[in-house]
Amino acid sequence: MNDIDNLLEKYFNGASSAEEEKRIKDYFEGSDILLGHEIYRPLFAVFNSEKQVKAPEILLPVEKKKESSSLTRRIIIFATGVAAIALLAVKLSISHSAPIQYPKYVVIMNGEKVINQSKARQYAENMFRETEKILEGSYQPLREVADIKKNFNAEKILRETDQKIEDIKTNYKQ
Amino acid sequence: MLITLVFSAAASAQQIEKLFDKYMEDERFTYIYKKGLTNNTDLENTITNALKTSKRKENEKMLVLNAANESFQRDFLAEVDKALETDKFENTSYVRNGKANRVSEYLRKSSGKLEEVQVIKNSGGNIVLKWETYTVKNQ
Repeated sequence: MNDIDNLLEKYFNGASSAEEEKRIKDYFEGSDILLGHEIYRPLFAVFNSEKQVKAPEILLPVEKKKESSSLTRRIIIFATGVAAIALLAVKLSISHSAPIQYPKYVVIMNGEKVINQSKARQYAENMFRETEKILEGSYQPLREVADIKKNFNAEKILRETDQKIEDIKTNYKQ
Repeated sequence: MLITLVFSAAASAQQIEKLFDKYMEDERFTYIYKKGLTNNTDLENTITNALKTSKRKENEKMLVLNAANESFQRDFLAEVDKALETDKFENTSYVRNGKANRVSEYLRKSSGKLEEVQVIKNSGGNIVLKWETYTVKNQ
């Protein structure tokens, strides 16, 4: 018992080595925990579950490139050129005071820009959501510790113990 | 005069911004940019707290490094750390799970502006650098 007590004291003082922390964790994972140490068990259970929390890997969808024949390609290039000239003509004809409209989403995947705004939007939103999930998940152990702290309310424990003593006394009289 | 202006502009440019500019078109990375508010969740975040300050997201950017070799991962993280230090970001949280997983958050407040940076590294060799900028107004 003294050995574990010493290790716990070092642990809570932040002075324990990695090997000593492992010994404590092994002890609390085992079934021979002394009654006086039971109070620490939930705390180390959290630390153990924390060890298992891993940031999920981010899988990046690969945009499929369509194979197009050289004729189709030439037509597309020609049409794009015509469209660009037409657009420029329209642009020059309208007022210069109009504000420039930047795209709301920009996605550049491995050096290639995603031109389709809808795809860029979908992809960006997915990535931001995934990142939020990782951030949320990383703070889960902190929330669990806060819950434990809440449950280890001294007043509540004393009240429950008093109640138990009262119950025992009542049953003993009978 | 012009030279002075160029120098002062370069000096005021943020290191974190330079980092995004440097790697946004690098084929080892995926760069994502989103401008302003788009959905209800963001709108809910607009009114921050009882201190009667409102925070409006200006934009958010992300750089994702996909399974690069360990040496480049280390170099990139060192660059990120250096940029954050130079830009005087404050490290507000650090979560580490095991050897490879790490999540750190940084914050920087200036007049009317709030910036948040998150750095996520996981065992799969992915590194995510996220940078959000907000305008803050006292109501």
